[in-house]
Amino acid sequence: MDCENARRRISETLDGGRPDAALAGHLSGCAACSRVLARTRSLNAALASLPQLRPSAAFSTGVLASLKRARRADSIPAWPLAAAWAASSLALAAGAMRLSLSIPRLAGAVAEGAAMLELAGRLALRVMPAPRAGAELSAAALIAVALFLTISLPHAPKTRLIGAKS
Amino acid sequence: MSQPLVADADLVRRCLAGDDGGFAVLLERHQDRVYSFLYRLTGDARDAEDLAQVVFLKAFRSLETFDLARPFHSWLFAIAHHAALDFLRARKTDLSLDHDEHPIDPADGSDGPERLAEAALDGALVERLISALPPPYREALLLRHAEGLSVEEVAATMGIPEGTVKVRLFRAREMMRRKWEAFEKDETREAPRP
Repeated sequence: MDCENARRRISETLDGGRPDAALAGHLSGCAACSRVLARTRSLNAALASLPQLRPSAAFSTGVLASLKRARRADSIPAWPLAAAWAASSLALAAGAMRLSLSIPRLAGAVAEGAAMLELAGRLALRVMPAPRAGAELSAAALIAVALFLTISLPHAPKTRLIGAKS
Repeated sequence: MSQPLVADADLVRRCLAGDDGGFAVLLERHQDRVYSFLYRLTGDARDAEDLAQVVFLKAFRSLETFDLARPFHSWLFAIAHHAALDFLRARKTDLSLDHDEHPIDPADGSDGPERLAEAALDGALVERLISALPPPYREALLLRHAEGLSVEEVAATMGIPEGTVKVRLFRAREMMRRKWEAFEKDETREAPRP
């Protein structure tokens, strides 16, 4: 057995491998490897006696406060968010239907957009934690309602007039 | 080590039943180990504390997936391993294993006590030696010795085969021993001659 193999075997032995006769024979005739064995043992022992360090006093209270927040967030039901999303999608679809009387191509695009938004909303609710999905869906719902109001109420007759001219 | 009055698995059961007090005990019981491991891996107290917080929050959120037959601490270390890996990657720390390609010199380690005044292997020196190792080696050595995990547990924690753990441990020990010897030689050189 050469020194490189002996040192690999030393390491394996220290991890619970059985000491074999070949290693013992090598060690009895090789001062360098015997020294490596002694030093590696010392290092392992020193590592095992490293003191455990303590985080700051605020650590555990911080973690427990975060857990409480997580519990509260988990208790928020997802259905109001889904309902808000569905309502905004319906609003968009209604706006699109109303517009379809005047500009069919634009209305089709808006309806398609509404369907995509609804699908995105359902996916978001499935993969995101409820609070995060809620924040993003609420923002999207607001945009959708604002869009609906913009395109369907004050400007719709004007739009129809322009459409009628062309 | 004395057995705790309430086993970790029972505390997990309490927690799953909605009693957060169970998790508070688990946190108190394991926070020092997780923090120490992360501190020695990242080298920064603040980073270690932030990561430890992530680890316990992740553990809390995934308690349902915990196998009650497994030791709780090794499950925590597996979460800590992934959190630390993500963090070190984001910090662009070199995680490669190409640090110990030089072959072993048979004469290495042959310096006798007459040539080397053996430096005391105190805690501060061990901390310096371990912090000088590349993270993948440092992690294997810390889990095996500082945390007392078996090779099998280290492999499960790091998500690598047992054979790979043994190779990493061998290389880590070699690197650490060489650094220790290099440190001793420097000390001997710097010591005033009589």
